Amino acid sequence: MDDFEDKDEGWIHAIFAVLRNEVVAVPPWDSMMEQLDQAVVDQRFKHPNMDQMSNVFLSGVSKLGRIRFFEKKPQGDDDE
Amino acid sequence: MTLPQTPDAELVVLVKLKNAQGKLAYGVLVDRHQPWVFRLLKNLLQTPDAEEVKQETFITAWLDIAKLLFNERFRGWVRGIAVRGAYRRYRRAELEKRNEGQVDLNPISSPLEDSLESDNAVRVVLERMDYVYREVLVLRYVEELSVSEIAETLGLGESATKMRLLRARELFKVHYVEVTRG
Repeated sequence: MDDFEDKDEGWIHAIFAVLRNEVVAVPPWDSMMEQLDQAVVDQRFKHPNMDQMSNVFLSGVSKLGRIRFFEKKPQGDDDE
Repeated sequence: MTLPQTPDAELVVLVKLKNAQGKLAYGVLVDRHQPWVFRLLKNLLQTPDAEEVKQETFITAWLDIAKLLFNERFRGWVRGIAVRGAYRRYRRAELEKRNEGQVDLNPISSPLEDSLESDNAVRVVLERMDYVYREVLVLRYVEELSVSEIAETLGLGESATKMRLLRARELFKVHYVEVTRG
């Protein structure tokens, strides 16, 4: 978004996906941390250049959270 | 091009005429923008008042449309009206509670089970937070505004906005861990 982005930005943005109507639920904090830690490990396999790792993490963590770990909201199921 | 396909800025030009076509154009703008305005207000207020404040927002926008200097910025302008309206409603509700002796000095004591069962942990946490922190979190992570856009909406400087956002995130994390760990 802007220069305010940092590591925590990804977590919080992912959690708020439920209010953006992108997912129907978010997991408990501990569970999400565990799963997202694993996602970082997975990303290392895809991105062996460790120098790039922080950028991959910062830009991708919220997408990872949405795509891989959250139950996605069915299309057309909007409560508004 | 029919009105529903017309960009905001062109619709605003029509609305400013305040004639029959302007009313039709405003109807299109309301249809286009009311879903996100309602979402914003619902997340800010966490009460059924959101619908009423939404109506007030669009009435104010209609009455004050001449004050919108840059027609292409209709969305941001309406957002500002909605955010200010939400804050006024929040303050009024707090005053009413205080007058009735119902101020909740310990919001953490509010019941959580029903909300958690419906996967509403995020909303529960927002309800626990001070309004100013809830407000900045909603603008950042639901409306996905930049720091400068938030600063403009709230009438704050960018440094003050960043500080408020950092504090809000810290508090949110503490409450979210607490809520989701039960």
